[in-house]
Amino acid sequence: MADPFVKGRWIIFASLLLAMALVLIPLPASAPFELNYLRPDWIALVLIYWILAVPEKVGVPAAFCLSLITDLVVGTPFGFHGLSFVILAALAKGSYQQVRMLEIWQQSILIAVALMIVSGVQLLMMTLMLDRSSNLLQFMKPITSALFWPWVFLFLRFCRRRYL
Amino acid sequence: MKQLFLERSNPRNQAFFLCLVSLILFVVDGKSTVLTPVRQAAGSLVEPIVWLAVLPRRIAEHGSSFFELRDQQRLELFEQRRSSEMLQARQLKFEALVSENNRLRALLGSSAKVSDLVLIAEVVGVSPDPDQHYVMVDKGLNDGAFVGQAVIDATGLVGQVAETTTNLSKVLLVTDQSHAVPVLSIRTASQLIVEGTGNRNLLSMRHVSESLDLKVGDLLVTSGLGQRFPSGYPVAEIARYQLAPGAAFAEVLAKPSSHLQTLDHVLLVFDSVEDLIPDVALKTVGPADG
Repeated sequence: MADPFVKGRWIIFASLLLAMALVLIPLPASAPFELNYLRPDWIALVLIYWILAVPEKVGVPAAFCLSLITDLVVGTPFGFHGLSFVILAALAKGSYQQVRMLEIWQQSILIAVALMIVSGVQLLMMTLMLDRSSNLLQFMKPITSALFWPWVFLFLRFCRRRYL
Repeated sequence: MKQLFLERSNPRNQAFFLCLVSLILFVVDGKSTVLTPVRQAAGSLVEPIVWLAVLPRRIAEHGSSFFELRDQQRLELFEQRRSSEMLQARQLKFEALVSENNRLRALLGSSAKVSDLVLIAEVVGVSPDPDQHYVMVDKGLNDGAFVGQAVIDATGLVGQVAETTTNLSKVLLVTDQSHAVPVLSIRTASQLIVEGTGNRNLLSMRHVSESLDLKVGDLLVTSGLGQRFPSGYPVAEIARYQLAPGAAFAEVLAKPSSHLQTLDHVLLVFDSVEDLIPDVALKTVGPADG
């Protein structure tokens, strides 16, 4: 039997790379700056998808490794994304059987709630430990992320069926 | 038979343990510089991801210049030549002034330098969190960039290099909450410290006593105190000055000189020619307009 941990794994890496690139791309100079508060958290969305779809391949340790790379790429202190990605991964892994049964829009709502919790955690980390204040507009991100979830889901499902 | 649930260790314990590791890492990396070498080495390895983010823009730029009309390009070239000639003419006078200024300073025994060398860098990434004000630029250790290096653009001070990897640097902007820069008001030569507020259009000054002569519209330039920033670069213009009766200090806000919301190219400032890596110096470096 072929090793299930190797076959088709590149599509997972490729999608995560794409998500990181989407996070980093600067908006065109003509776009209003406030749009930055509405940019979805692509990496978290892709991570959640893969945990829900193939929990035997992507789990909590993988989420932790991903968080370290994310911290390096976007320049936050190590561990800043770690806590949130591990929480998201643990939540997704604990409930993937139930979540898979839901309609896509119901999943969106769940994801909005989960990302809200995680944003709260990140806000606390920033304010309590680094003495930095954050704009409350930050809490718009989970909502736009949830709005983008159906498209991310459909796109990645297509990729998974085709390549994985 | 295919196993339905593959679990090696208790996932809840694992998640809890990794949360703890994250928190410890966050405090250590956020509060100290112990992990800087690790970040530098590992950051160099993940650089390709950042380049991936620049790719679409590079392709778009290339594509648009490919399809641009020849006449249009010719016109653009003509205009650029003209502006280059004009700048060169101005440069002639500027160089004479710089040498004169340096001679006079030498006579006075003052060591402040006017001439600085710069390296052009392109902004390749932005902070995903709009409240953390930094950008990634495409010059790193290989180009001679160093932590603490001053970064300017055509209109004024942008910030300083906070982190470098082989080919990339993270530039902290003057408006970031953790940033402060010593400045001097051009009109009265009063010394101040300008701090970032977390708002891209606003800088603030603390502990401004009422006796200090400041008013709206005053230009603040880097004073060179603290030896981190070279002196004489515009930082901000005072936008609001309010002295409440009975208050110990005046409330002063300023507007940054450079357009920090729409940066696409910045200049890294080198103090001397020796700091520059030789082949880089030959290619891209010219005297900055002080």
